[in-house]
Amino acid sequence: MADATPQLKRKSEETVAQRKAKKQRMSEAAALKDARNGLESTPPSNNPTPKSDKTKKQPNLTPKPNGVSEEATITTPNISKKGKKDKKPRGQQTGDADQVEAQEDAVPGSSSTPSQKQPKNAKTSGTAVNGEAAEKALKKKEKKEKNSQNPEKWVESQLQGGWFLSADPIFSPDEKYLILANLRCLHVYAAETSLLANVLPVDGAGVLTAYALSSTKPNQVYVAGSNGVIRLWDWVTGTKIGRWEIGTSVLNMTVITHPESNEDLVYCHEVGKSHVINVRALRTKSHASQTELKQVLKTNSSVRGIQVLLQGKYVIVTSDNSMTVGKRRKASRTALQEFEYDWREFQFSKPITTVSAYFREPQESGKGKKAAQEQRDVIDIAVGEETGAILLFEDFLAAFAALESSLKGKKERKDKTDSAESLRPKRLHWHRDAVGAVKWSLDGNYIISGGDETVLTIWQLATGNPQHLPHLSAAIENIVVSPSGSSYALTLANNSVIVLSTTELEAKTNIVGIQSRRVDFEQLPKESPSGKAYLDIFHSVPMAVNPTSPNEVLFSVPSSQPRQRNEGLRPEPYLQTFDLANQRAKARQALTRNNATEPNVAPEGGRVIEPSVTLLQVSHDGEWLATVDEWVPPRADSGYLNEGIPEFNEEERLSRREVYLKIWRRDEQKSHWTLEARIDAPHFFENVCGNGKVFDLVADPTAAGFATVGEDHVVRIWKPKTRSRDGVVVRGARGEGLVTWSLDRSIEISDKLELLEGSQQSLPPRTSRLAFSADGSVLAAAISWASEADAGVTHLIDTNTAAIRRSITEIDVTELSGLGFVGQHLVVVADSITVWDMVSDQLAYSIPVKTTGIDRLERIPLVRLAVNESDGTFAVSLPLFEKNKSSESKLKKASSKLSIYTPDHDEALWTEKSRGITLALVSRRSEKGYVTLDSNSCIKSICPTSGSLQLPTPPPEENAELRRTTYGADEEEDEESARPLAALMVSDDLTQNIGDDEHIFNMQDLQNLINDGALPPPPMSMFSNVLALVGGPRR
Amino acid sequence: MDIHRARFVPYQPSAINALAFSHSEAEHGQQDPASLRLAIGRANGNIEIWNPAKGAWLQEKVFHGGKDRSVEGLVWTQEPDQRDAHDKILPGRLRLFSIGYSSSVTEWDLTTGLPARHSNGNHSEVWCFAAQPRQKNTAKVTSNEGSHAHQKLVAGCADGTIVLLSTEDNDLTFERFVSRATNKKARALSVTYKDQNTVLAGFADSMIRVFDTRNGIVIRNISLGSGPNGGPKDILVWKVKCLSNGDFVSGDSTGDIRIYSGKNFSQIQRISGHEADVLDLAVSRDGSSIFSAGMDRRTCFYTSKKGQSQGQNGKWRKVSHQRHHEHDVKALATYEGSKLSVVVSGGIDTQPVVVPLRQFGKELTRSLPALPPTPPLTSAPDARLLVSWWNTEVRIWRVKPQDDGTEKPKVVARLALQGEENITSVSISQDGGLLAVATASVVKLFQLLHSQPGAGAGLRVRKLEMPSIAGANIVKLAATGKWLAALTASGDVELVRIVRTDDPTDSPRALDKLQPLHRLHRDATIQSPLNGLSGSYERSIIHADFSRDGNVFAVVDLAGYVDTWVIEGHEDSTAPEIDIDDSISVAEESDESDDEEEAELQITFLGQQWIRNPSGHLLPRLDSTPVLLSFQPISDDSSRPEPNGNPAVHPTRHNPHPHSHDLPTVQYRLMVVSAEHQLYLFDVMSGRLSEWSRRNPPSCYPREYRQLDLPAKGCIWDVAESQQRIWLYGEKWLFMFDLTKDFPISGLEHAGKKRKLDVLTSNSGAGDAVPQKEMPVTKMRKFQTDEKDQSGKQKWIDVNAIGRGTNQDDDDVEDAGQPLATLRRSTMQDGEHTNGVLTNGVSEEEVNGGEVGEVDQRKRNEPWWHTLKYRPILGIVPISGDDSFHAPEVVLVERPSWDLDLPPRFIGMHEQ
Repeated sequence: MADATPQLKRKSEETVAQRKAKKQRMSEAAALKDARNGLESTPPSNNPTPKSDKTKKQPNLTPKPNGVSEEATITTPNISKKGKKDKKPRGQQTGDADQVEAQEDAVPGSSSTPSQKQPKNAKTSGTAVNGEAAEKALKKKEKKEKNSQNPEKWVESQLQGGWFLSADPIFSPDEKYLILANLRCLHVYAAETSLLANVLPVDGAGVLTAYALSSTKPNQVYVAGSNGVIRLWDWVTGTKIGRWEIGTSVLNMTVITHPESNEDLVYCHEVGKSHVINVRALRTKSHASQTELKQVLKTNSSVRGIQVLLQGKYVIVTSDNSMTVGKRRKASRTALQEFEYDWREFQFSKPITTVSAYFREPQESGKGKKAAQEQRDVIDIAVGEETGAILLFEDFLAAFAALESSLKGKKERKDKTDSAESLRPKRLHWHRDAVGAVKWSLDGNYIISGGDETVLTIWQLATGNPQHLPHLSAAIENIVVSPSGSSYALTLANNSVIVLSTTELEAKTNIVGIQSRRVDFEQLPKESPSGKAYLDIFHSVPMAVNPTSPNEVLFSVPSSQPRQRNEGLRPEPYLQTFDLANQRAKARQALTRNNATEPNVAPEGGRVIEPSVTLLQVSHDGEWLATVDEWVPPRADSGYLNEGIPEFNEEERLSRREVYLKIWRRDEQKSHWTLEARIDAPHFFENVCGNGKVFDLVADPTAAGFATVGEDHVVRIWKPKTRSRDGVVVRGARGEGLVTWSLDRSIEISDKLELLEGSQQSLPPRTSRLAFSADGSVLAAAISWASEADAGVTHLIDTNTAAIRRSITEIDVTELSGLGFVGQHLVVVADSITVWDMVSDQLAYSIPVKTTGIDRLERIPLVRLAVNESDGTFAVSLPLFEKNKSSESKLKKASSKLSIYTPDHDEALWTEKSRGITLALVSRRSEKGYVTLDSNSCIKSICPTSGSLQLPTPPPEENAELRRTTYGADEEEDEESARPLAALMVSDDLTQNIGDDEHIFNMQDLQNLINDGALPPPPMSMFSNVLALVGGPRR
Repeated sequence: MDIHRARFVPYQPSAINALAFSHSEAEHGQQDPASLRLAIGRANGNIEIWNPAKGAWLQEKVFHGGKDRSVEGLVWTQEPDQRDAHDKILPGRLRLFSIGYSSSVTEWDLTTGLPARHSNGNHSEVWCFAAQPRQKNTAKVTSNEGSHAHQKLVAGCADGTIVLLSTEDNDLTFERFVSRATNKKARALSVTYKDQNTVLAGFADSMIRVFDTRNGIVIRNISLGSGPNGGPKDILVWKVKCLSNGDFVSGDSTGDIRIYSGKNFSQIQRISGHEADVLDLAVSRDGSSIFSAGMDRRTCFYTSKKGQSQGQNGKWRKVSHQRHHEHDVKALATYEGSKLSVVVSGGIDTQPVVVPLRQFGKELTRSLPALPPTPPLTSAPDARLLVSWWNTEVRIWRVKPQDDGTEKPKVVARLALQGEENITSVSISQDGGLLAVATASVVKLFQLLHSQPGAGAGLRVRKLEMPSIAGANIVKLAATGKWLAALTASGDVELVRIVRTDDPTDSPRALDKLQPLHRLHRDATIQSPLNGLSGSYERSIIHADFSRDGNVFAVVDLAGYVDTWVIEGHEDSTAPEIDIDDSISVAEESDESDDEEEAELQITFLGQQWIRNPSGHLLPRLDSTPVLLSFQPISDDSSRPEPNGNPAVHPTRHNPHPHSHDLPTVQYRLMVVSAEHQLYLFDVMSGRLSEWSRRNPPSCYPREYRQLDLPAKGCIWDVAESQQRIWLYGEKWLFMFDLTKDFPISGLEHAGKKRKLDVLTSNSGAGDAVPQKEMPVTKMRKFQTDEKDQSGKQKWIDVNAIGRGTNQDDDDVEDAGQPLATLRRSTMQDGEHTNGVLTNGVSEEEVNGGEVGEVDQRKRNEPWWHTLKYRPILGIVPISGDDSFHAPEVVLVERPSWDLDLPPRFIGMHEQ
C-alpha cells in the first residue's frame, strides 16, 4: 500500500485538475457557444448537437462519488467481455486485443452520437480487415496475431506528441481558439489559456495532411487524410458532419464561399502522378446540391502552396521556383464547371520559399465614377526567396498585362521598356537565411516575415522601416495574421506555436509540443561512401522518468529544427519535461550554453554549434539530475591544427572536446532544475591532456549518487557530501545543508585481465555500459574494446570497496549496447540478448539479436535496453531498416521492434513493431512498464494490464477527452469510455474508491475552508490550503 | 617582356565632389545630343569632361585646378537655341559653372579648360547652386523678352543668403539677393528650382524654405522637426530635388528621404533607406523614381506607381539598395535619353559608378576608371628613372633591375612646384637629363644632374631658363632632348629647341625663340554647343608625340584629326642657332595658305626647320575619338645610315638662308588607337594607312579585344628585327599584338558573335545586362485550365528579353571590311613581305624570363596575347635602356582602390 500512495496522490491531483479544467471548460464552452450563436450562417442542424449531447449526458452529471461505478453500469458490453476474459484468459485473447484496440481507436473520437459508434462495432466484428487497416496507420501499433504468448498483459498507450504539420495554424473567427494539427489528429487550443480544448482524430488509416476552416460555417473544419478521405468536423462539438472519399491525398486546402449557393467550395491540391488542383463542392445530405469537382490546374512541378483571392477570382499557386497566377476566365458565371482559369506561370531564378498575396481594395476615389468599377484589380505579392530577400511585386496583374501587351504588339514597340520595368520587384532584404514565412498585414501596409534568424520582422512599407522582435526561441516557420488582425500566430521550428498581440508584441498563447529530435524522411540515412557514422541521427536521445512522478518524462531537445534545412544531427542543449498524464510540455530549460540570445552565426558565416547533452539520469528520489554534455570544436574551426595528417587532425580536434558532468537539484518552488555542481572533464586523459568521452551514466538506485564510465578506462562514482567548514555544516539560505558533489570511488579497468598478459599499450574502448543492481551494492561495467579480437569483459564491482569482484568474460560484448540488472539476473544486450544468473553464476538464456538492413557494428547505438525492476522485466528495442529497391543507397523505411522479456523466459512476453526508430527507451522506474520516444517525437508508454493492486496508467487519451470543449455534463461518460482499461479491473476500482472517498471527505472540508472566516483569506494561502486539503500534506 | 609589377607610386586620385550632365534629357525628338557631356568635379580642383556617347564613357578633357581649389558643385547651362539661315535650330552654347569653398562662382571655358570668369559678391562662401530650368518652348521664348531665355543661377551661401546670378550677355553677373542672411546664419546646403520663379532651399537648421525669386518673398517654411534622440538637434537638409509633377523630395542627415506635395508644401511620405546621411538625390525625368546616396555607401532606389487611380497611388516604395562604392557617395547625376538612361554616382572612393536608370534591375552597374586616361607616368629608360606626378608634385624613382635583388625603387628626387596650379603634364628625356613640367600657367624645364657615385642616390635638380609659355596642357620632350613641344590651352603648338652638348659641365640651354606650329585648317568642324567663344571644343589637342629620333612630331585632337610635322634639313652645329626667315613662307605654302593666317613664322634652328608634313593632309580622320598616339620606334636605328651621309648645309636654290630641305627618309609609323579600339598604323611620310592596318580591319580583331569596354591608356613597343610587338594596355587589360602577323580572318561564325556583342553593348550606357540567374523573375508562360497536357510544352517567354534585342538591323556594315582585307592579304602573299612576316622566326632567347614571357612562349604563334590580371593599371613605362636584343623591361604600376589612403568611413550597424 505504501507503494500505492504516491499513485493515489497523483490520482487525486488529477481529479482536482480535471475538475478545475472542467470549470474552465464550462465557461469556455459557453463563450464558444455564444460565439457560435452569434454567427449568422449557422445551419440549424448544428445547433442542437451540443444540446442533445447535453441532454443525453445529463444523467451522468449527478454528483458521483466515483466515476467507476458508473462506468461499470454504462459500459455493460465491456464489462461482460471483461468477465469473459477473466474466466478465459487464453481463448479470447485475440478478440480482446482487438477490442482494446478498437476502443482505443474510437476513444478520441468517441462522442456519444450513435453514428460514431457504428464504425466501432464494425471494427470489432471484422477483425482481420480492420487489423490490416490499422497496420497501415502510422503510429498505430499492430498486433502480431501469431504471437499468442501473453499478449493481453501489455498494452501501449496512444502516441503522444508528434510535430505539428507545416500548414498554417487556423484562428477561429472569434480568435478564441487556434486549430493545429499533427499527423494523427486535429487539436483545438484555447487561445487564452493555451490549453488543449478538443482533439479531432483522423479516422481510419492514414495521416492527417491538410485542414481548412469552412468559410461559410466557421465552426466546421475540413480535414483531409492521406487515405483519400476528407472529413468535415464540427470542431466545437467534436462531431463529424460529413465524409467524402476522394481517393487522392490532399496536401493543401483552401475554402471559399461559392457565390451562388452560399456553400463552401474547397480548393484541393491533390497529389497523384502529377500535382492537381481541383475545386470541389463537397455536399452533405443537408445540402440540396450535388457533390462535384472541377479540375483547374494540373502541373508536374511540385506545388508548395495555394492561395485563393476574391472568392476564387484569383488563385496563386507556388512551387519550388515558380509561381503560377490564375485568373478566372468568366468571373461572372458561378457554376462550378465554369471555374476556368487563365494561368500565368513565372519562373524565379532562385528558389522561393513562401508567397503571400494581398488584394488591395480600390479606394473610393470618385463617387459617380462607373469606371472605377471596371478598374483592374490590384494584387500585391510578396515572395520570400531562399537567399533571404523578400521580393515585393506591387500590382502584379498590371505587370504581366503590360508584358503581354508589349509582346503582342511587338512591332509597335511602344512602351516596351515600361512593361519590362513593371516586373521589377522591390527588394526587402534583411533576412540572412531563407525566408521562412511572409504574410501581409490586413491593411496591406505591413509585411510580416520570419525565418531562421528567430526574429520576427515587420516591414512598414511606406517608410521601408523594418521593426524586429528578436530572440524568439526557434526559427519561424509559419506566420498567420488573425482574422481581426489583433494577433499573429507563429509556428516555430521547435514544435511550438505562439500567438503575439499585434500591438504590444507580447505572447498571449504558447502551445508547446514534444520538441525532441525529429528525423524527417529526407534525413533517413543515405549510404555515405565511408559507410560510417551515417546513422548519427538515430543516436539515443537521453531521457529519464522522474521517479517521484512517473508521468513526468525528461529528455533533451534541440533548440530549433527547421523543416527547410536538413543538417543532420543537431546539438540538444535543452531539457524538456513532458507530462504524460496531462499530455503537455511542462517545462523547458537550458542545460548547456546556448544561442537563444547570443549570435548564432560565427564570423565566417557558419553556425555556432551548441554543446549537446549526451546522457541524463535522475536519482532514485527525483532530487538530483545528472547530465553529461559534450562539445567538440567544429572541423572548420580546427584548421589551424592541420599538420597534414588527417587522422592526427581528427585526434587533435577530439581531444579538444569539452565534457561536463553537471548535477542539478530539483527546485520544487520554481519547478526546474538548478545547477548544483559542474565537474569539468570527468574522464580526463592525464597522459595526453585530452577530455575523454563519457560512455554511460547511471544513477544509484538506493542513494544519491551517480556512476560514470568513460573513455579513460575508469569507472567513477560520484556522491554528494554535506559541505562543512571547520566541522560545522554549511547551510544554505533555507537552512538546508549544502552539499558538494565529488568523486567517491574510482575503479580503473585495465584492458587486460591479467597484468602479465598485456603490453603497456592500452586498447581504446569502443563503448562501455554500466548498471547498478537493485540494491546498489553491485555495479556492473561492461566494456567493449575497439578490436575485434577481444570480446570484451563485464566486471562486477563492489560499490562499497570499489573492487572488482568478478569479471565475466563468457559473454561476448563486442557489440555492447545495453546492460542491466533484473533482480538476480544480469542482462547484456550485445550480439545477443544474454541473461546471466548472478546467483548461480551461469547463463540463464541467450537470444540472438536480429536486425535487418544494418551492419552489426553500426547498430550498437541503435539498440536500446531498459530494465524495470518493479515488474522484473526488461525491454529491448531493435532497429529495422528497409532498403529502397530502386536505389540501394537510400533507406526507405525505418521501423523498430520492441520486445519485452522476463529473465525467466527466453521468449518475449510481448513484441511490437512500430514506425520510426525508437530513440529512447526507459523504464517507468517506480511503476511497471516502459516509455519510448521515437524519431517522430512521439512518446508512448507500454505497461502491463494485469497484475496486482497497481493502478494502470490512465491512457493518455483520457486527458484529451477530458479537455474536450463540451458541456461539462458529458465528461463522466467520456471518461468512462475513455478508460477501458480501468473498466477491466475491479481491483482498480477499489483503489480508486479509496482515493475518491477521501475526496468526498475533503469536499466537506473544502466547504469549510472556503466559507470559513468573515474575511476571505488571501488567494495565495487559500490556494495552498486547498492544495493541502486535496492533495494531502506535502512530503 | 620583363615586368616589374609595382605599387610603389602613391598616386592619389581625388575624391569626386560634384557631377553634372550637360543635358538632362534627349534633345529635339529622341536623339541623344552629341554634345552630351558629364562633368566631374574633384576635390583637387580638377574638372573632368566625360563623353558618355554609346556607353563608351571616355574622359575627354581635364580642366586642371589647383591647391585648395576643390570643386564643390557643378552646373551646366545652355544658351537659348537659335535658328540659322536655313531656319534650322542651332542648339545654344553650353556653359559650365563651378563653385568651390569661396564666395565666387566660376565659369569655365570648355575649349581651353581655363576659368573664363568669376562672379564674386559680398556674400559668404557659396555652398550650393542651381540653374534655372531651361524654357522648353522656344517659340515662346522668342516672343518673350530675352532675359527669360537665359538660365539664371541661384546660389546658397554659408550664412543663409540666397543669391540670384544672371548669365545674360555671355557674362555672369550678380542680379539680386533672394534672401538675406538669417539670424541663425544657417547654411544653405542645397538649392533647386521648382519652376521658373520658385526656389527651394534646404538649410542646416532643419528647414526647407521656398522663395519666390522675383521678389524674394518666402512662400513657405517647412520644418523637418528635430533630429533623432542622441544626435544633433538640427537636421541638415543635404539635398532638395524637384519631381516632374511639382512634388519635391529632400534628403537629410537622418538618412530619410521625405517627399512633399508641390501644391501645399506638406510632407507626403518619409522613407528611411539609409543608415547615415543622405548626401545627394537624383530623380528620373518622369518623376517616378528617386535615387538617393549617402554616407553609408548605399545607393537606394525608390519608385512610385504612376497613373494608378487606386490603391497606392503616389505611394513611394523603396525598391532596393546596393553598395556600389567603398566610401561616402557625395554626388549623383542623371541623364535620360532615348538610349542612354543612367545615374552616375561618385564619392570619396574616386570612382564614378554608372547605374542604369530606366533599365534598373535589368542591367548591371558599371564603375568607370578612377585613374586618369593618360598615365601620369613617364620614364627615362636610359637612366632607369620613373617619373610620376599628381597635383603640384613630381616624384622621380630609380628602378633597379629585377635581378638586382628585391630592393624597392627609391625616390631620387621630389619636386614641388611653386604656385598652386596642378601639374598638367610632365616629360623627361630618354637619358633622364631634362625634365619638362607644365601647369595651366607655366612651363618649366629642369635639368636633372646625376650625382657623383658615392654621394647618394639623389638627383640634383636645376631649373633652366626657357622662353615663357603661358601654360600648357601637354608638354613633350623629344627622346633626344633636343626639342620641347608645349601644347597650350588655346590649341597652339610651340616648339623649343634645346641645345645640349656632350660636355657634362655645359648645361643645356633652351633657345629663346619659340617655333609655333600650325595645324591644317579643317573646315569640316562641326558646329557644337560645346564650342566656346575662343575656339572649337573638338579641335582641342589631346595627344602629342615625337618620333624616337625627334624628327617627326604628331598631334591628334578630339575630332580625330592627325597633324604631323617633320623636320627639314640636318642638324648643323655650325649654323646659326636661330635664323628667322619670313620671306619664303608665302612661296612655300602658297597652295595651302589660302585662308590661313599669313604670318607663318619660319625659324631655322641650327640648320633645321619644322615644316608641316607634306603628305600630312592625306592622313584620314579617325572615326572616333583617339585615345592613344605613339610612334613606332624604328627597329634598326643603329644600322640606319647617316641621313644622306652629309650633315653639311647644301647650298640651296634661291634661299638666302641656306639650309637643307631634306626630309627624313625613314619610314615613320604612327600608331593611333581610337576609343572604339581600332588600331590605326599610319605611314606618316606617305600619309596613308600602313599595310598592316589595311589588312587587319577591326572586324578581324580578336573577340576578347573587341569586347573590352575600357579604352587604351598607353602602349609599349617591343620592336626587334624579327617582331614588331605592341603591348597595349587599358585600366584593366593588357594586350599584345604582333604587327608582323595578321589576325586570322574569321568566318561567318565570328561575325555572328560580333553582332551579338553589339546588341549587348547597345544598352543604356551602364553595364551589361544582368545575367539570367541574377534576375528575380526569369520566364513566364501562359496557359489555360483545359490545356493541361500541352502546358508543359507551352512556350516560355523570357521576361527580360522583351524590349531588348530589337536593334540588330544596323550591324552588318562593319563586316564589309573583311572581304577587302582578304583581298589585300592575298595580294600581299604574292608580293613582297614588306613587313617582314617572320612568323616562326622568333627565337626563344628573346623571351626574357618575365612572367608574361612564359605565357608568351606558349602562345607565340598567335599574333596576339592578353591578360586581365593586372588591375587597375596606372601606367606601364619602359625602364631599361634600348637594349634591342632583349625584350623591353617595363614597370607596371598598379593603384588598387584598397591601397588608397581614404579617411575613416561610416560603419553600419551590421558591419561591426
